[in-house]
Amino acid sequence: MIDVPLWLVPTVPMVLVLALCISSLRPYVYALVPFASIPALLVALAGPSPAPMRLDWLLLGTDLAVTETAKSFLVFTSLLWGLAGWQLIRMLADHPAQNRTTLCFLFAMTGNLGLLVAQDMAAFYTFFAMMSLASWGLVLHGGGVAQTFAGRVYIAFAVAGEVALFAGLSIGAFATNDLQLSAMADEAVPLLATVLVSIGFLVKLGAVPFHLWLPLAHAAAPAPASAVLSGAMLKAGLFGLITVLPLGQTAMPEVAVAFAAMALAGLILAPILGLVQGDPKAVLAYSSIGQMSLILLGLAAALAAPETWLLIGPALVVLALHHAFAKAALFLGVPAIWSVKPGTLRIAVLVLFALPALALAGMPGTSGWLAKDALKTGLENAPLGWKIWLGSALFLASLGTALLMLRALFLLAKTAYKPEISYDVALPWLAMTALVIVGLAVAGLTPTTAKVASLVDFLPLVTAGLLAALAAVIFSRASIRLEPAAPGELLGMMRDVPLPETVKAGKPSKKARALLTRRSVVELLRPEYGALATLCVAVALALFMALMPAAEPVTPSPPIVENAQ
Amino acid sequence: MSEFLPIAILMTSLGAAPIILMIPEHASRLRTTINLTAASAKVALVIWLTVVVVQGGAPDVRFTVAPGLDLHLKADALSVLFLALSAILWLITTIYAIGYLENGADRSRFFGFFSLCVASTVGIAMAGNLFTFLIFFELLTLATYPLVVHRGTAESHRAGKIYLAYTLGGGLALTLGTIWLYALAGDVTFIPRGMLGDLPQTDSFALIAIFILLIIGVGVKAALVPLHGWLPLSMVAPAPVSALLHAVAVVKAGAFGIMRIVYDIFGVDTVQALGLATPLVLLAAFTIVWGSICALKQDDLKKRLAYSTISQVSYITLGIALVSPLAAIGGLTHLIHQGIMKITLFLAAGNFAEAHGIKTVSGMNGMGRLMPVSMTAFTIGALGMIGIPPLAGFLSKWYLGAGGLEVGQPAVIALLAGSSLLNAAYFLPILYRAWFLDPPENTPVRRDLGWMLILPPALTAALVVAAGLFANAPFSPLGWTRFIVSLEYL
Repeated sequence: MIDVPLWLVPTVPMVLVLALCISSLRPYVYALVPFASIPALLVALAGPSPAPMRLDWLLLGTDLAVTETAKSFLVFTSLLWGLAGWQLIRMLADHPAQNRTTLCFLFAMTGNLGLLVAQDMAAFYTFFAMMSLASWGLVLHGGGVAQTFAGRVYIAFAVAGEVALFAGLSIGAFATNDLQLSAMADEAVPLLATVLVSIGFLVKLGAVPFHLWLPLAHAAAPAPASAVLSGAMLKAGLFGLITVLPLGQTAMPEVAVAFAAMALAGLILAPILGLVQGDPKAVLAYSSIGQMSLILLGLAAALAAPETWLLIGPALVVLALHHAFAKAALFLGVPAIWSVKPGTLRIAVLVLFALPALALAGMPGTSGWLAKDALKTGLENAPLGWKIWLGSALFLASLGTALLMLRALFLLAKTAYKPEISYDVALPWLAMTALVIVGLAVAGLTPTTAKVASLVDFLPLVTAGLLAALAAVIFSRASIRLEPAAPGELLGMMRDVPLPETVKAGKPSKKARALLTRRSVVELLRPEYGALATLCVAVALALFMALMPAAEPVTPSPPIVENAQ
Repeated sequence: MSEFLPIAILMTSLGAAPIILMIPEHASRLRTTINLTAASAKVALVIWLTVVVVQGGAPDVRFTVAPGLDLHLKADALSVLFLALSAILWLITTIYAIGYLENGADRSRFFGFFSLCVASTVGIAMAGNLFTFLIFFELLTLATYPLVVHRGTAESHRAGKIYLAYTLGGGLALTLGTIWLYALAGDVTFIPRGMLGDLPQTDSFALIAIFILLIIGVGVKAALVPLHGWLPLSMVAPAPVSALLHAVAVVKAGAFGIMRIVYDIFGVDTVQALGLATPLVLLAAFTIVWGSICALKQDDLKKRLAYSTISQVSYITLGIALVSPLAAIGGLTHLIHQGIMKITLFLAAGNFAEAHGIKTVSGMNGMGRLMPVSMTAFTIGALGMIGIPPLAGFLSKWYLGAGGLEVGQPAVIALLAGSSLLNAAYFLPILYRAWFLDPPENTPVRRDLGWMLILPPALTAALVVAAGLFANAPFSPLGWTRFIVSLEYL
């Protein structure tokens, strides 16, 4: 194996950023975009980890190293950026915003790859900020009403997250007198610092209620950018949380309850709000919220009972890996579907497209099923109170994802043919789908992970299918046409958010000024109220469930390794 | 051997000023040569001085004006910090000003007073006692007035009057304080850890009153709220003047004055013992927030930048007043960092106005496409102000925050976070307009910018990146301030 020095990981995309500023080099840079993440991939796949590096003069003294967790993250992050970059240059050829979007793409890539190898706070924060800010350009892309609105919401959340991260890191660094990021997991770090840093990462992870930017941004960005936003960048939030939380060392019951509440709210909210969306990419985005909530649930369980981390930790990494590949394949598939006319070929494309969708929904035998099963096994050791409802949460997640996938497929099947998109955007998608299939095959053949699926595991999928069929029958019989909800969701609540005209379309005219103003019934049926109501119910339910086990004495159950039913 | 250095550094601009004033208006080649020679010579001399100071030298020159009243120039580590900033930025701004005023009127007057302005700044940096400081501080007021009113319009005369009223008022307070302190303590020499600490127990009421007078005196130039009224108005001055005023000369002279008063006259221990540190912290905190909120409301680009200066310069005051070594590092580095970031912003803003007549935030649409180099420089400056790493502003905030925690004031973190949000709120919309919106169809083209206008903001933007990226390297602003602070808080 070639020995790749670690500094190459962020430097290669950064050099391309600089080269992009010279107009005569641009054609070459475009051609090189898909290869910019290769050093990262080599580092991830190298047998022995490359030697750590200390660059004393850089920032506040920079440490680069690659941990075992970071290696797994580097694998999917580098592959995703490479394939998404491939599709990006194909999709944007001769687009007026090509240069700008490519620049932002490379900047975000530098940040995302760099933060996985940075060990000290200054370098990590630098890369994290680089990724967050550059993604603003990906969301805005070529401009347009939806993009502008999404960009505004995105940057507000991103900056707020950055500032929370800054505050948390500085409090933590002062308390431990250590600039290493991993020092944030130390016991000396005040709870406030942990909370602030977590907020910074939860914004990135898209945890409810910090998720508002996510569906807007994913729907607005070009498909390959959505693929990395959802597949790679959300995971940067997870990576941050894994690094800074004292997982497996100290129990943090308060944080655990908060995380569980957020996770459960997300699991309930995501399918309900996602199903009424009219844009397939928004549907996929809501499914990401659901999946990230599942990951958050795992973190919550590990924070409540540190001894479970040994099993939950690897399960979460598997879940992240699986979601990254499957979700990226789905997003990359959207332009591929656009590029074919409705007909036999499109059906073939849709069938192939459905494969990662099935994996996401946890179809037995797929990576999703393995990941969820691993999480389930990990949760066996959770405190008794948690176990009762964790099972239902897993079921809910699978059911929700399955419904969302059906909705996305339904929307994509009837989506308009876009002749301006050439066939070759399908190549990166095919490559990504091939990776998913190879992953499935490898996982299926590995004896340690091979398990026998029981009929119970099909339950969420079957339920989802039945529900979807039922809905289809009702809708066609009663000739109901679903008016897609405004993508603004809860943001419609805030008077000062200037919703663009297209977002407002279909809403009752003027908003009432004061609460006392009389409102018609129609006024009350606005989507943001629905979202708010759902959110309230979800939070109440989550808090109720999360507080229950805290009340009764927690008896650590002996670690029993069960076979799946 | 090195004793002549302070004089030589002072004379490169003080001596050049009368020569330039006498040059006939049309001899622009001669004027340019003298300007650039003087500015380059100063940079070279300051580098030499830095080497001397690093080796432990402290060049010291005294002239007795009257018994007990000395003109005293000396170069310590703190002087070198300010000298390096002014020498480098003076050179860059001179290049810019030559390009900016190409074919303008009254150039000899302009560059003459420009040199005088820098001479005063250098004098302030090297002043070894309060009397010398006062002389150069007042000279600065007089030297900048002709620059502010350079355009000669009714608006600029009005701004000039208000500027004079504020600064002369401040000068009066400073003079009163100086006289009072001389009456109490004799020659007030600047020494690390303060000269008053060694005095026998003096009347604390008198000391508090003197402190307030002195702070009002320098606070006008440092634009501490409520003494800031002149700053947004003086935006009528030509772009290089605004850049120099905001980055090096006037506001920095004020901030530097606060440093000298707190560190080298009173000493941090005395300031704290007198109970003066906390009010100063509160004043700085209020100024930070107030300036940012005002900046949000401005559509005029230079006015927005001016209010931003009011806010950002108070970071320096905050760092001094927090009485913590870490905060001091943050405040002192911000003297440099704010300087290079703000000069970048002003020079770029000057370019937008020169090339396309664009002076408002709402007119910034598509500037990224029209003027990529200037806009990139502006972007780097703006992101640095927000505190995005790895740019310079991040380090200042990091150390200020740590300093706040060190003295048990976690509220400082909240203040910095809030300020970052406000900075983002008034800078990011500009970046959005410039990079993501299309320029209007009929953008007027006023003139072609030569390299003399394009290169300076690019250079300073590169400094912003380098100061942050190589912060831990030996001669970074951060490294130098760590050295200074180790002298002040042993």
